[in-house]
Amino acid sequence: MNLSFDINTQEGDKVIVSLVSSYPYLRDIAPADIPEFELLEVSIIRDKGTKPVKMEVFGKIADILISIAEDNPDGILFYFCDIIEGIPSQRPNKSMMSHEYRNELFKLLFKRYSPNAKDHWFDIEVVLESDSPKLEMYTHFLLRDKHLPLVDFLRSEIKNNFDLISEQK
Amino acid sequence: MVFVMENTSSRIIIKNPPKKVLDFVMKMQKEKEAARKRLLEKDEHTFSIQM
Repeated sequence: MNLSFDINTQEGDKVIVSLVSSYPYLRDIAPADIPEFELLEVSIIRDKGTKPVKMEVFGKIADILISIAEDNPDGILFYFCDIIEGIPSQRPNKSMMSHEYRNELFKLLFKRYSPNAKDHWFDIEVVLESDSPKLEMYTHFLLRDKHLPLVDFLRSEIKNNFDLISEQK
Repeated sequence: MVFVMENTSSRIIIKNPPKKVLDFVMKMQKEKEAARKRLLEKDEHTFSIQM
């Protein structure tokens, strides 16, 4: 899968969202008893606009992600919160960095996302905490319960044998 | 490492990851920047929504 869409508003805002199949090698290294899966990496980019977008845009993004994810029984949505600036925001505090703020926004997206979904979805947030805020990492895996064993696998890989993941790309 | 399950939301926290993991994070950040540039340069998307 490799698709993208843009949302344009009368206020002049433009948000681009993409969903791309990523990290196919995970299937090869994951335990065979984990059901078939396809990791779909989500990107959300603010292209135009200087103010926070209206909530309807946020809802539209969630609705589309729902429909795409639910059409794909093997789909797992993966979101890596990048540190790139350029999101007009209403951050709870000015010191909050952009990746942490994106993390909060994505959690809100999931709250919007899950009640409308037909399937039972889980939001697995993986956080790496570091002494340097710039090196902290926030990621999300939105998945069905049948794929929860994959989280256990990834957790153990990160903890015990990270090379297996990081060197096979 | 902490693993907390609250309803349908779970949080895994890995404190003080080793350098090779941090290197991976930096690599991911660079890849996201490149992907962002590619998306912004794209003329057409699969579909477009006007609100």
